[in-house]
Amino acid sequence: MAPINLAFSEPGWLLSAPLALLPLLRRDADTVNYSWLALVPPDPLSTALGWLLRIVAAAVMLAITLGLAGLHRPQVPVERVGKGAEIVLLLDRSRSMDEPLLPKGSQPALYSGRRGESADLESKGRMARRLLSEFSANRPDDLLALVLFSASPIPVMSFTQKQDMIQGAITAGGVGKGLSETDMGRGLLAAADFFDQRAYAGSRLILLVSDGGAQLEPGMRERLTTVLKRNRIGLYWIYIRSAGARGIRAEAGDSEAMESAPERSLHRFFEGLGIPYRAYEAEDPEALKRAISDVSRLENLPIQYQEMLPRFDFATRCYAVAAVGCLLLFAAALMRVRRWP
Amino acid sequence: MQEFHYKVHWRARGQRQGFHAATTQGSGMEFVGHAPLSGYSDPRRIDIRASLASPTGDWLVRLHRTRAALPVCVLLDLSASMGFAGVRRKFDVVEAFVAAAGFSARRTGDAFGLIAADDTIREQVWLPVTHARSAVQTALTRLEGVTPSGGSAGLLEALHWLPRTRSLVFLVSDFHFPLDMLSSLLDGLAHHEVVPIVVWDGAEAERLPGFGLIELADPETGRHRTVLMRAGLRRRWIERVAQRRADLCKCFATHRTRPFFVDGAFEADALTRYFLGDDEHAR
Repeated sequence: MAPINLAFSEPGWLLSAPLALLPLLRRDADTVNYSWLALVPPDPLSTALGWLLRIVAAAVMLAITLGLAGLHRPQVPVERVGKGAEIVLLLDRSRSMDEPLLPKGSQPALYSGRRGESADLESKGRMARRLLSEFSANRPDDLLALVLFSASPIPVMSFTQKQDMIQGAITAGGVGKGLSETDMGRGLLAAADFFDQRAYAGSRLILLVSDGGAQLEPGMRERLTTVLKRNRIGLYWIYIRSAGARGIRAEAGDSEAMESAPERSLHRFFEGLGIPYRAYEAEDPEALKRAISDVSRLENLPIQYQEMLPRFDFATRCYAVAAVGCLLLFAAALMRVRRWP
Repeated sequence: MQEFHYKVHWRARGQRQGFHAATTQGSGMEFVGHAPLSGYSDPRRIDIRASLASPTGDWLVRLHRTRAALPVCVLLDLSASMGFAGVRRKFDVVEAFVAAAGFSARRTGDAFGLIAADDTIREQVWLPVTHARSAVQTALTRLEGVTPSGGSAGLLEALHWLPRTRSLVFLVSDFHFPLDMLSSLLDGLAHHEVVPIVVWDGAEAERLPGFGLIELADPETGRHRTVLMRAGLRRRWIERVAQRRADLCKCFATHRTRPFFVDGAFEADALTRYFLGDDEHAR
């Protein structure tokens, strides 16, 4: 933890801070003359109460001064240490992800209602987000980042360990409709860019969630190979099968056309990269568990990273303290005897 | 104006005719003895029966003691605590007492004086012991507009301002000062007949508030104290005042004098009873 440094937005008000000493001085208002204080029996409770009220009054004035001066902690970068892997979640945000997930072998049916909002069929995008949230919820120690991509990549969130931020970012990806185009190559590049200029501090992983492959151009393949190898990034692909597609793994009886389907060719490209690569089919409920356990098997190195702690304003707390103190003083004032009966 | 009667248990030494038994010989009712006419040539006092019986055959003259006047002096504490106003203003009680004492002294034919002190002697209030009939008025005029202030240390200095002859001294104060000081004050007054008039107010002891937060200020030292008044503290407070009263009585008793407590208004008749030996106000 960095040393706490405080700052004031209106330091001019601090000039009135010595006013807080006023309650500690003797004052003649509200006093009752008594001929001889030695006649008053000693009473520790009263003495303590007297000092307490004075200190409370001083604290109230000090708190108000600090509040007016705008006491705050400016934003500071903080070193944090995580444990596990640095994972970039790369989520396909194309329109095809809005379509419902159909059981293997069945054909897309005509159905009424909005696309992807069918009552009994979960849309692929929603399923992907569910998978990702489950994944991140199960890996609390990992550093996670999130990139969406369709026509172009959208870096949503850089590395963090905060679960609520991660979950929020994943949920935020579900708003609105996706675009029709998908450029997986640039998405992968953007995800890999997260590791550029970053000290190697633990296992690196890109978790790709997508529903289809893409035919990558030779130039893009080359760039991807370079950047993935250079940054020593592992790639996990959670494949969400589209309607009519046959899956990424070759099966007996597949035709030539199926063999050249984009997802198959992408799968082959990834396999040939020479980096740690695994593919899972999302339909399989065990797939996610396997993905999680596979990631857990990776080296769990401590990861150092910096995080910006946002500016924290203490003014409200100062005023709250002052208000509570004022209530105390007000109660004391109500109890005060100003005249001898 | 109230009047009280007072008497002392010793013989006055004054030369002026007055009310009190005196050591002075002269015209009076108190027979002392016989003396030869040759020594005391007052043929009006020749005692024929005693002369006839005299073995020496001298003419004998009756000797009598006259009655004399006595200086009456009020030694007044004008420290700030005497300005306390509770049920009534202490200073009103003081003025009533000074008026009564001066009036009574004039009616008894005694001289009257007033010495007031706070930290020092209050010279503008000082009235030297005098037989002037206007003494009461002068004393009251000088007390007008006086504000009690400061401490009581000047009382010790005031001892030197008292008459040299043995006098009746009314020591008027609330005696809110240490017992050591009271003891040395009474030691200094041993020469005189001292009647301590203890002016206390009901608000100082009995009429305390039942509950509340009080910021007390001591008018003499200027110190403040916060007090959370509650039943237990109130009881202890009253006990402490009673204890102080007992301590005062004890200190006075060791100096062979009885205090006269004025807890409310000053009552001259009660003071008369005090001089008659009634102890009701000394408790």
